[in-house]
Amino acid sequence: MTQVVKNQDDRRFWYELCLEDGEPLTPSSDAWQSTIKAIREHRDGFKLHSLPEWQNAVNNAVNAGIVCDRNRYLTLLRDVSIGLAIHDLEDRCDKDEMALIHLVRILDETDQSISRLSEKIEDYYIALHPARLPDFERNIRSLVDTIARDGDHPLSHLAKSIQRLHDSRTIISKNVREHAEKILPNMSALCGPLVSARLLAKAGSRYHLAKMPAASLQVLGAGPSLFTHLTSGTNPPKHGIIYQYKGVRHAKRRFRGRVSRVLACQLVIAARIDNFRKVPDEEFIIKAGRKISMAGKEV
Amino acid sequence: MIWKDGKLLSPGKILPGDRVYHGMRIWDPAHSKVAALCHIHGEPPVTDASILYLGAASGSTVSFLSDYAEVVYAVEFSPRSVRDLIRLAYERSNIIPIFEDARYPERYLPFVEPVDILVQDIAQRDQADIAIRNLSFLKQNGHFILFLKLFSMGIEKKREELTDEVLKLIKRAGIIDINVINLDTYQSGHVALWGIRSSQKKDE
Repeated sequence: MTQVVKNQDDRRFWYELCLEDGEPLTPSSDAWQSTIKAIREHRDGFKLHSLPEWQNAVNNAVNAGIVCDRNRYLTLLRDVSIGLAIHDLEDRCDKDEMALIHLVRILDETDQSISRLSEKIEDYYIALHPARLPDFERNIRSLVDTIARDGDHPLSHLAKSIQRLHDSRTIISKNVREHAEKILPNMSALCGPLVSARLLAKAGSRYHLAKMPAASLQVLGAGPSLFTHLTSGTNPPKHGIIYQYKGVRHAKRRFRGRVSRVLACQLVIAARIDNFRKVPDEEFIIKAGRKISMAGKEV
Repeated sequence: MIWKDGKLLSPGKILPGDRVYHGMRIWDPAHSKVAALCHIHGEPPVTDASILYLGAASGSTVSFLSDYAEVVYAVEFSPRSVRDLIRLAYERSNIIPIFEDARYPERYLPFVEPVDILVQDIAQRDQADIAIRNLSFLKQNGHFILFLKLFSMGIEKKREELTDEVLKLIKRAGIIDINVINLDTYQSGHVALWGIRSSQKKDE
């Protein structure tokens, strides 16, 4: 009770903090950054008065000598709120997490570019050599390599670029693995760093991932078929991104639903540990791993 | 508001990339729900008003409103969009960017004065609820404009059902004289609800 009363006494209007030695502040002054900081602290501690109507506030702010009229008041408020927003932006950005999310997106985009370009090269080759059947069947990579080596080939430069893209992809994928093992240690242990990173990128942040029910995580990335299920009552999808985990992909067809359900259940627990505790929990990983491998076996 | 040859124009500063007609920016109803509202139903009294705009996004609508209004408080919670909003606020001194979640108005209560117009343009499942939470910022007899994106409220229910549900909610919150305006001509799947905050005190 006393605490509440004390808080009431401490409360101020935001503009009362913009005064230094009786002089109004401007964004160019030295004390500006510390003023913004002070306002943020007051805001986060709920130590600021809510604003009355301007007609009542006018006497207040003008009499205190902070602003001379409404126009100045609004300009000051704009400068303060820009300052607050910039600080908040910097504060709320989790650099490791953002790096991982965007690296994964770049990785997938690179993969797509590589396969699209390679396919076009293959089309070109097949169109020109329709009779050479056995050569490079189902191995576009070696076709690209051969063309890259042949300096006279009109596509050899492009083929070299594709090879370079392959190199970039290797580097990016290594980075993604390292990042994922760092910021999603438990999930990475269960379903591999790449799949965990893709789940994170789809969910948007670790916090969103931790808030998610297991059923949502299970079908994350299976949006279209989920919505056909909801609108026209087809069978629901069994798995989304987690299909890329080999335990699900290689499970027998009739067990896939069960494996992905169990995996999703364990993954959300892992996601919560990753978000809140942020350290690998060996005991949990062993237990969860056993449950997942049990799900793929006949009883 | 300024009309010329059936186009809604905006008198403010022209930035690169803006479409211009007779020396003024075109306020395109296909890109801005407020403009669509002006074209279909009528103009809200934005001239020299103070406006609280929830869900400002990158601030294209806000920039037009700020040409007419005295001040626009623009609330947005997506970091990417807030960047654009801040850049806009540097250009136009009467835009006040607020980087907060509109579900928790107590966070920006100290900075926003009572306003003449409240615009809610956040497409979320609880979009009506968000508007009602921010109702304390609206002056009595102030205008309340709620843009409903019907797809955001689930796909199981019919359009009329959803609108009625929201209507009931905001009537209970003390909004009267509500017009339901269909924006399908310019913005498919959107409905605008435009009412006035009752001056009678509601007894809870």
